Amino acid sequence: MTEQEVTSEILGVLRSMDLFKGKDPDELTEWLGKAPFEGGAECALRQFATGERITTEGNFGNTFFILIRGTVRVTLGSEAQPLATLGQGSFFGEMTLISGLPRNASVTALEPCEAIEVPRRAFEYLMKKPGPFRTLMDQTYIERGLANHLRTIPEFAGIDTKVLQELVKKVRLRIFSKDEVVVEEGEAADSFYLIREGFVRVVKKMAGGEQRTVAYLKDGAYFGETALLSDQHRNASIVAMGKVEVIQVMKEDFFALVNRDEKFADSLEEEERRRKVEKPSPAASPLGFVGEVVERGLIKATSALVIHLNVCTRCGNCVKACAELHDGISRLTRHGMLFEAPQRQAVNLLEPLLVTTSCMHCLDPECMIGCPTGAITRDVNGEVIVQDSCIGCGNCARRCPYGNISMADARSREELAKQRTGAPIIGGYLKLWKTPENEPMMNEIETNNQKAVVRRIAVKCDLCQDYHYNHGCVHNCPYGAIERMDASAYLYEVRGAE
Amino acid sequence: MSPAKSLVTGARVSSSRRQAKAAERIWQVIALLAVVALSWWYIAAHRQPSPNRYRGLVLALGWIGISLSVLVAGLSARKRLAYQGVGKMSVWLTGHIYLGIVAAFAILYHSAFRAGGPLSAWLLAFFSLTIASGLMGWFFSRKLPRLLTAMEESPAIMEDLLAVRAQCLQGMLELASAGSPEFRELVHQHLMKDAGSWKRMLRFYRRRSTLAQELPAFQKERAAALGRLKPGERPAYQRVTEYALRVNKMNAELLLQRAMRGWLTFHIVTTGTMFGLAAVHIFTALYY
Repeated sequence: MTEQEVTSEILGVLRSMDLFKGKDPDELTEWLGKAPFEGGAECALRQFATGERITTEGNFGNTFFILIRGTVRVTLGSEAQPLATLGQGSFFGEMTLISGLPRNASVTALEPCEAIEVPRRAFEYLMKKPGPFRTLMDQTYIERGLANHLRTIPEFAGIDTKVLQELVKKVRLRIFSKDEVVVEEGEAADSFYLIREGFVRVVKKMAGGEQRTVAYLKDGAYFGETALLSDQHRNASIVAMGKVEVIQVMKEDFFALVNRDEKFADSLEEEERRRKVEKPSPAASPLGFVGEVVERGLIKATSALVIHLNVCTRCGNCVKACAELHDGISRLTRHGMLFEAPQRQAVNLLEPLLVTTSCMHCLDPECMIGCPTGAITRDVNGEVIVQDSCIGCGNCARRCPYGNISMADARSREELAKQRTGAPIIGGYLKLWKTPENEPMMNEIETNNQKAVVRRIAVKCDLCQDYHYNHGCVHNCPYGAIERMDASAYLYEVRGAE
Repeated sequence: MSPAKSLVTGARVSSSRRQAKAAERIWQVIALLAVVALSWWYIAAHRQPSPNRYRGLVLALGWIGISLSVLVAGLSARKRLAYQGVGKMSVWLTGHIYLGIVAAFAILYHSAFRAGGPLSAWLLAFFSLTIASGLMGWFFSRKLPRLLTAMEESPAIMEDLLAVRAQCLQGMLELASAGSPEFRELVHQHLMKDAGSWKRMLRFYRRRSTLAQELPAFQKERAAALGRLKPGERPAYQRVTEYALRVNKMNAELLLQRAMRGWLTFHIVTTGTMFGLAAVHIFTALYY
């Protein structure tokens, strides 16, 4: 927003909000105008007509909104169950920026509205500094997030809204990083936990002292109730498998809830019985393919690039097509994680699958955390893309746990045109053992490499967003050996509800 | 048609395997119907008593054969020039295979199973070679990936294999040059031969075994030589035996990867020659 656009009315509304307590008009004007990087998104004043949808539940977003004029309605689910009505000086849409998850409610204008759309970068700028903005955002995130999350868990669905709201004020949101222990086997039980985001491993000590993973739990699951209800020590450890957010309900609050709501107590007991019946003996449970998929992080993949090795003739057409469609730089390499996976048509037969080094468009992309220009974003489908405002700091490449982002030299249009010569038509056939990595197009990149002067940018798979068909690599494989798959859907197909 | 999407986020996904299989079934049906129709036409003409019974048929089959061949050769253009679309490559390839089969029948019926003059004899020979090399490619593309995958410890591209092989050979030479004359002799006279041995390569193919599975037996075979070496050189000798077997294994994998690409050169050369001869054949047939 330019200085002229920041009117006294806008400043008045902002200054009346607790979020911006203590900020003077100049500071606010400067913050609203912050867009120091070319191509980076900046704060913008938006107008919405009556009935217009401002945010849609389930879509990913890179912005949040501050309502300057008018009222909006927040609704949940396909039946548009009303959650709240917000007026001037309210804000919404911040959840997706904090959690990296899709928007969990829809917001519709009830009358002509005016709102400031704040991009991730401007949001992170204030979140980095201690102050009322950060404190209030964290508090709102916990309250709104927990209330919405608890409603999605069947055991909590029947609980009275008032009881739930009371509970939300008492619980704690705790964040664990990879390999951190959430609860330790043998320790006294003092709380009950609900997983809000991420995956945890349930680990048990075996007779010989060996630690064995006996199960994996994901968001929506809960643990710790067994020890509380039976008044025993923890019978297993819970270890975070990446960034994990859990809701901690303290012992007394948990029992207050159990004593108050019989249905809740019954559903917990029912779940406990089901776990006892279904749980395989730890000694005989290697967790197989499912365990491996979770353990190696593939479960987070919403669009993993997978090669069926028994079909792939190693012709390299996938890499060649990718390079051809992306300025001579391939976004995939035929290396990666190897799995012995059940076949779709015959799940008892295993086939070797290679999950290539290519962006998996993770459910919770770690690469997006801390991008200084907000260049790495998700579109509404959750596809992770690098925008032109990338300054080549390499932060995303370092953060990606799978090494799927690389840094490359940004080239001028003339140079790119020179590279895009295509493979030789007849000569190419005669070079029997040439692969795309070795062809002139690629050599030219190496020989022209001027790292000292050429701007570097992050490159990763963009699912061929600029083309009219899906995925150049898949489209150009002559043998149909390569596909983009959703790990959860694939697991569901081969393993059912396991 | 809207693209398939992830159930969790909505990111686009796509299954190439399923589409390739579906496309193959369609092409199979088309090819079968076409071959049956051509055969029925040829047999029906063959049964007619008239001496000119083949005249119209021969010409028509010739034009059908060459038109299909040109269409089939379109795969090459799709593969080399059009990364940006014009249909899925797997659909093109299955079309190439099955239309190629139909073209083969059309041209065989056109020839009436006779070689004719020298030009048509050469044309038929190159046509047969094109079909044979195509079938070879088809066979390789179905069988060799499975064999290669069974042998590989981890999937490697050709550049990786060449680099590892070069490193192993260099390691062998460095260890040999630092050793005693007996050690050098053992490396150069025996282990270098083992590294290039076809017999050992075939063993990898036959057993579909990995390096870890073959190494103990190989080192046991070569253990007799240990007695000729100083005790201090024995660990180095064990390392050289491992390098030698690894080189052999790399050669086995490289050969498979080259076979999967190499047949194409032969296919292209025979196809090119066939089209050249066909052009002359058509010109002479039309002119005279």
